[in-house]
Amino acid sequence: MGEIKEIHRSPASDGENADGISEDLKEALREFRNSVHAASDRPGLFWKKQHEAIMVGLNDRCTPPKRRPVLLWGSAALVVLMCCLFFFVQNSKAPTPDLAAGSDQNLLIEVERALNQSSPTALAPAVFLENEIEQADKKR
Amino acid sequence: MQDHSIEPDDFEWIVVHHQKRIFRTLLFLVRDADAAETLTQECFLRAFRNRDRFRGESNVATWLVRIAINLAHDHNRNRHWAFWRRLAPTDRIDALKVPSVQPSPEQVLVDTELVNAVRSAVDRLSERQRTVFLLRFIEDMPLEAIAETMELELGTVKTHLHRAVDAVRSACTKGK
Repeated sequence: MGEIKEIHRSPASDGENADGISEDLKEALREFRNSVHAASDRPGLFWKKQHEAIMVGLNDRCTPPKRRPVLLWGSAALVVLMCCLFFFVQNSKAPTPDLAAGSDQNLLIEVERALNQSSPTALAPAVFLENEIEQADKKR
Repeated sequence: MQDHSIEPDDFEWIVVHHQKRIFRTLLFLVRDADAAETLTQECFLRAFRNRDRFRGESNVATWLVRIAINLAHDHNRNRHWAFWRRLAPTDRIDALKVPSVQPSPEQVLVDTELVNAVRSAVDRLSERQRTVFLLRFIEDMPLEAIAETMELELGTVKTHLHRAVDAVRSACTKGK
């Protein structure tokens, strides 16, 4: 494990010998590193173009998307259609009997009848009994 | 608490400063120059999109390399690309061809052979080992930074690196 610790202490680019990696391996790693760096090297124009492409992508994400006129007109047409449909449905409804009006009329008739009576309906039995008593008294 | 979030205006500088490193990292991991180019752009766009999540615990380079590694991982996992890599396992590494070196032709030959031995050993490493190897020996990152970038324990990073170095050492020994 001591060797592993030594290896981890210094990368291939370090000039130390006591790192657990032989000089040959260290040299190979250094060469490999150089080869990878060289392979990814590109002319200045490449980086410039890539930079521009990235910045265009970033700007696209920064600016809010433009409202499309087609979408706008479509939405307006849909609203108009919905309104027309609503009014059409409203007008084409079948007439329903006016139950409320009928019940009011019945109530008025009841009230008039009650007013015409000399005594309240609830006291009708008592009135009837009183009449009976009066008739019996007259017969005597 | 200090706000470490990245402002949109800072991003241009970040792109200029880090694009080479990110491209190199992606080229090494995906081994396809066109894909590396596209993924480099995607890396910066993703970083920009998630810039609010950057809290400053790590530096920008670590954060960008982490995004690049994740992108490369997703890319490599894609079946389509895996299929093509299986068809042409070595052709795709053309992008990493060894450049010409100045010393004598014999020395060039020896160096090239050694580098090729390292490269073929690295190609056989697992994705994680290859990434640790890249960050350590190509990008010269300290182990702690590698652990942070890859979101791994330090011990795990050491283990991966130890295995990678063993594999490379063994390949170089055989190559001699």
